[in-house]
Amino acid sequence: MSMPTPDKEAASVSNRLAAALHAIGTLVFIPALMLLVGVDVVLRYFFDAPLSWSVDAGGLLLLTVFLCSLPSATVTGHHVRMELFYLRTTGLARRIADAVSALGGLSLSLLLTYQSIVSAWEMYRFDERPVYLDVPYWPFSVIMAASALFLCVHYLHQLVVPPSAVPTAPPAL
Amino acid sequence: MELLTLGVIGVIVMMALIFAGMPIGFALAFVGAGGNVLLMGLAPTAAQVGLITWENGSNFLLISAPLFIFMGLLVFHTGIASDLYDCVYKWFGRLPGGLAVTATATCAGFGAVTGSSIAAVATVGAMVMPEMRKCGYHPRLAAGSVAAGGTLAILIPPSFIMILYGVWTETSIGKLFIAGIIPGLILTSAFIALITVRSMLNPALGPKGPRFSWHERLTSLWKLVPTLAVFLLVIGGIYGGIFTATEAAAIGAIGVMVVAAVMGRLSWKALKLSLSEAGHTSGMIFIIIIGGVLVSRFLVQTGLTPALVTWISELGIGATGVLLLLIVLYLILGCMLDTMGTLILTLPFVMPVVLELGIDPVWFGVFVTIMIELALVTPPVGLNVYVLNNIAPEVDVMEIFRGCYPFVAVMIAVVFLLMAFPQLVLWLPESMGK
Repeated sequence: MSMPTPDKEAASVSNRLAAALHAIGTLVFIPALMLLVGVDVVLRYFFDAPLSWSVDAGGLLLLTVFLCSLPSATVTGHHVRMELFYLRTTGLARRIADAVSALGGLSLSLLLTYQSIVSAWEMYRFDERPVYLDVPYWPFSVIMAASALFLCVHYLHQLVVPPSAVPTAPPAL
Repeated sequence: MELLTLGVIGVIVMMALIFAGMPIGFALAFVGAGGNVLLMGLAPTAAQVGLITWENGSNFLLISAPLFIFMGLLVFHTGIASDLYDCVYKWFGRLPGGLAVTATATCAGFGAVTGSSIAAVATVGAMVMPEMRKCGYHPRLAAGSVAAGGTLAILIPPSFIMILYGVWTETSIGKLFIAGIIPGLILTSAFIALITVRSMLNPALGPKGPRFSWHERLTSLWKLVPTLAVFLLVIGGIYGGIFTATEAAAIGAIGVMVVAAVMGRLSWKALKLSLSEAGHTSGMIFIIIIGGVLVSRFLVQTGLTPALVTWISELGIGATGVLLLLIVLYLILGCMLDTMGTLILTLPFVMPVVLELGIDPVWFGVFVTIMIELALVTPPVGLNVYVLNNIAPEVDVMEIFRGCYPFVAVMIAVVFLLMAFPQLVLWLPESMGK
């Protein structure tokens, strides 16, 4: 029986966390979003009593859905990419292409992680909240930082251990 | 370094990264952020990246994206639109090439509730291809009609590509949906006419199907009810001014759940799968939007976009000339990129030119959607063709592509028709809510 190497173990833990985040984001927040907008429509048309905070809440729920699914979409290869030429590369060319992709993704994720942490701290310090909803903004910025940090780990891993196969999920659309 | 030169280098780097296989959204975001670091410095760029992510991620208009995707996937996984085939076959099966006509019409009906081309091909292909094989249909006509028919799903509302276009260009998604109805019907009719005429000229291509009695035809109509109910709820609500597109997405998703539950087809597995796939697609869209906004802002700052607009305006070829050039551009890009990739890459450059020339953004949204559909059936990356090849591996990929060519010609002909008569697109959205 072969023992998993530390990098594989780290990747596996990271992938499982991304999957868990994705499950929460989709099973909890998409239905919540659907219900919120649906209930708001019913309240507006049948009771003339729309929810004043529905736009604020909807926006934050949507942001959470996006952020929760982004790491899993990246890990499972759901992103749109042009594979026409990439799939024809081999050896060094493929390694360079992978490294460039990983570096690009890593630098962007680092930038987003840094900024999300800074923003979360500032939002906490100034107790920033939406106009019509009494919920602090900073937890959402923390989710953004966590999501970006997942991407950092993913791209860092890809930089160290180039992918043996192209993760390409079948497109849903 | 001159700003314009920096912009040109940015575009070259972006293309190189995309060709190297980097996810397109990330390539755009990387170039946009990298360029802005050079222009403004690291700290302001980081703030810009954070702000763009936050603002776009919490954009209320974008709520329609995950909800329409979820609705379409739920229709697909619960199979509530699969009954369409039986009804359409009983009405159209007797025509020359009846099964191919049925496939096209079913794809159009499927598109009216899913907006997913892949789902349409996967569902309709699995039902129709074995039947057509049994009836001796020519593989090119059989496969071409299903693969090309699938493209109708992204033109007939609700359309996912139109949501993305609407959010990006700040065009009303509701108007875009309504604008897609007449071109969608024209294209469906044109496909059906093509199949019928070809089968009449050469009956060996697509033999007629069996004759059904009026009783059988009329009783099959009830199978239209679930699809029709969902379509009328969503599109009727938008057209009547009752819902916004975002609200229609939520109501439509709830409606599909109710219909599926009533039909006894709502399972936890279908629900979970639909939610999960909707989440993944949403995550993919998210990075595309961020990347697109970042690179657009960078290009505007370098002056490349305004320079491009000025250059094209000074060419003196007018709106028609630009549209003809765009047809060529989209045909070429369609051979290299899929639908989403083509849309994201072109809009930052094309949209300012289109607006400068006074082309209606709603009309252009329909034009772009049809041109982008071509990417689904043109080699070497035509996604619909590969999906169909998975379902019917006995038909060679190149044979399917060849089967699609007549339909591609029809699509381009319809684009010319819409250019000649823009009111075919604009009449319905202009009469909305009246």
